[in-house]
Amino acid sequence: MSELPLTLSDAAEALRAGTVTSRRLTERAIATADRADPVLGCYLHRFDELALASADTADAELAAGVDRGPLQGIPFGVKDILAMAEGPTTAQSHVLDPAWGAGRDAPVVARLKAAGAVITGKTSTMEFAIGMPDESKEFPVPRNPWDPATWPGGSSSGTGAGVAAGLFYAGLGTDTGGSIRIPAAFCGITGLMPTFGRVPKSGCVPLGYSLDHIGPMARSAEDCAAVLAVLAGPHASDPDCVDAPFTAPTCPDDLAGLRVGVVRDGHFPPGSDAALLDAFDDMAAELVDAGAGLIPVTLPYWDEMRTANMLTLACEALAYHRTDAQLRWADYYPATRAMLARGALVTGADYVQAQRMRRVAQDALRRILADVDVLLCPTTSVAAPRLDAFLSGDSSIMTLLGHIHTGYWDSVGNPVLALPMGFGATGLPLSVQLAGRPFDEATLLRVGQLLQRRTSWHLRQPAPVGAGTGVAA
Amino acid sequence: MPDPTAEVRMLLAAAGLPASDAEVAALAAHYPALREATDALYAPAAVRYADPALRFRADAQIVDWS
Repeated sequence: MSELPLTLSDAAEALRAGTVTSRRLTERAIATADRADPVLGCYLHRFDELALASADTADAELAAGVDRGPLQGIPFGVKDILAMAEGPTTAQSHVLDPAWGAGRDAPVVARLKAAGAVITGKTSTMEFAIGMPDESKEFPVPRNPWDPATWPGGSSSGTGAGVAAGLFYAGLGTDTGGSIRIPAAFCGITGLMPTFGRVPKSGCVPLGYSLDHIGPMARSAEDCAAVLAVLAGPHASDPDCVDAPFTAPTCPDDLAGLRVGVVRDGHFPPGSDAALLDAFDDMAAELVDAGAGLIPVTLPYWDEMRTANMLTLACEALAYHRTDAQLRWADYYPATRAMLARGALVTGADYVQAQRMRRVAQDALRRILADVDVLLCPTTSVAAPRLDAFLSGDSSIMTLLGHIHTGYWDSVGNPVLALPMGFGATGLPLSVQLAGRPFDEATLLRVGQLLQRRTSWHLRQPAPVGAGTGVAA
Repeated sequence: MPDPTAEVRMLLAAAGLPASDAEVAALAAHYPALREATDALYAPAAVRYADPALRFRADAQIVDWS
């Protein structure tokens, strides 16, 4: 979308200024998908005609003075584990009953539609948001637009790659162990995992009932704030979802008085990207230059929360899948089977103990967040890995897990914003996390906006891929 | 610890999961580490009397989402 606005927020402004139409944005998004998606595999289902009709409606409404807010007329992707009435929901699996969710909108999808978003399609994932890249079934293997030989991260793979490649301005991801923030990191975009309970998760194929978060992925923190303002709010169908007001914050002039806890322990393991430390220190220096104070912090119960994340996810996923797994084991991908099987290797008492440990860690973290306002740490300590390691079944790829620093936050439920922070030694994006107090996304988004006003990492775009670009399918 | 392969095979069978021999072997290779990490959740003093992050509500209802 080079000659068109680059961010959702700029596009929303241009629509209201009359310098662009939603139809133009949508036609460009469709053309970009026609070119790039055969390489990138972002979409499982496209809704080109529906999107163009929605765009025309948005243009007509804006012309008539009907303003539904900044998502109106904006091309938008939806991860294919969320139900949408116009198309099938597969969770990238042969196992999910097609009748589930048929003809129905998940509450978050209904909210997007009411806000006038132009939903262009359902985006690719890993099977049930658990699996790994795998060519053994006919679903696409999502690829990273920064280098299609690399993984875009998962499980919100198609949404992350699609935002980075310009197939849509923003999209929905889900995060149970890092599935919003990992693809945001590897694709060089911004992703927000809201506080657990901020956004209703009904109408989403569950992975971990007590871990699942639905949230925005977009180019900037300002864009994520605009999306969260539409998604947030209680829904009677989700007993975890609470009524906590959220209003998209404005960008502050500075960060005077902000206390930033800087987390290094465990986040720079051997094998980290050679450029990671400098990139991280540069982001910390930007915060100081903006007026913030830095305080070294060690996250409490780091190992225990990583274990609790894996154990809780495996047990809750197995509870959902066990009947299908017994009857249709071979229809699941191997990586999905391995994760589900782990849920059978621990006891009911172990599961409850993990929930006791989560409560202890939440309380310890609450005390730390009484002394600092936000926490800063790398999202991952490596850039996007090559896909061939996954596709060849090379077990060394499992070392990647030691470089992903996201699952802790799903266990405790605090909100986390992942932001691009430069490029690694191989020229692929690196990312930093800002974590905050429960239901204080506003502070994260204010800090993120100011960082992105002072840097331009979030505006960097990968070279086009697809027919005519030299990088074809 | 008993033979991890036998234990994993028994646990998967109890859950009715028809894992192959290769899958059982792969899981068994990681099973001691999984067990050790899980047992470590019982170790911190702070968790001895902690309440779990679980709640049951007597008035809860199942509400359709669309």
